[in-house]
Amino acid sequence: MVYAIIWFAILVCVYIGTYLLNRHTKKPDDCKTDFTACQGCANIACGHYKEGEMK
Amino acid sequence: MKLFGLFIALTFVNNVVLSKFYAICPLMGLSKNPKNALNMGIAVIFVIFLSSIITWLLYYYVLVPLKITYMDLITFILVIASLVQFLEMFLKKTSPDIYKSMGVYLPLITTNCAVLGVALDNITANYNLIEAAVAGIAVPLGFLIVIYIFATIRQRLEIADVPTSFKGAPIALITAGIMACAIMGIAGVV
Repeated sequence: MVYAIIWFAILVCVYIGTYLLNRHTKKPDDCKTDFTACQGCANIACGHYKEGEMK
Repeated sequence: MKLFGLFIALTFVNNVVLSKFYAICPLMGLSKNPKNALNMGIAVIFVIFLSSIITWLLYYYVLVPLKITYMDLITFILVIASLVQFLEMFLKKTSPDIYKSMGVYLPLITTNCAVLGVALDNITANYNLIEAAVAGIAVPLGFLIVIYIFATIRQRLEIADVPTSFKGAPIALITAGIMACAIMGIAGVV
């Protein structure tokens, strides 16, 4: 049980770490996302979703 | 020869989309344009191959020794989500061209149940590492083939004379059903 809790905590920390690293990594210059591909997707947690909504 | 049989079986006969009905969400959502479908398929190959190997290693070298194999589902979900975030960051830094072509498709893969399905199937089928790696290529390749063919059919359906009540999702689902029937025709090959 203790191992399971520690393992779960490690996984959550890894996810948060990779999420923050990804969020703070700049996109390449002249990179424009094609938002027409987002039409069929309802993943509101996606970073591109908010970006497309703003535009 | 066994690996080749496994490859063919997982790509065509036990196609992840048409026989197990995983990944229907991206199939329906991203199949309006063949180019988008192709990009999504390539991104899925990339992620499933890596996640298949990583989840297999974690299961047999962490979960089994610690006797916490009941944590497999939550482990695989978090590993896949982390892997997608890491890959996106890695591509932003090292390969802007690949990032430009895959950018929007990578976060979508987190919600693609085929990725989780392959990771879990590798364990339940008792595959070794090599077989898991072969499954990690064969399954997404099957997905790529189906989503691309489906996208080209849907493009033709846009200009076809379809009854009003069948337009859009209904005719797309009927098409997917007919494709599933067609792929059953090669069930005896392997």
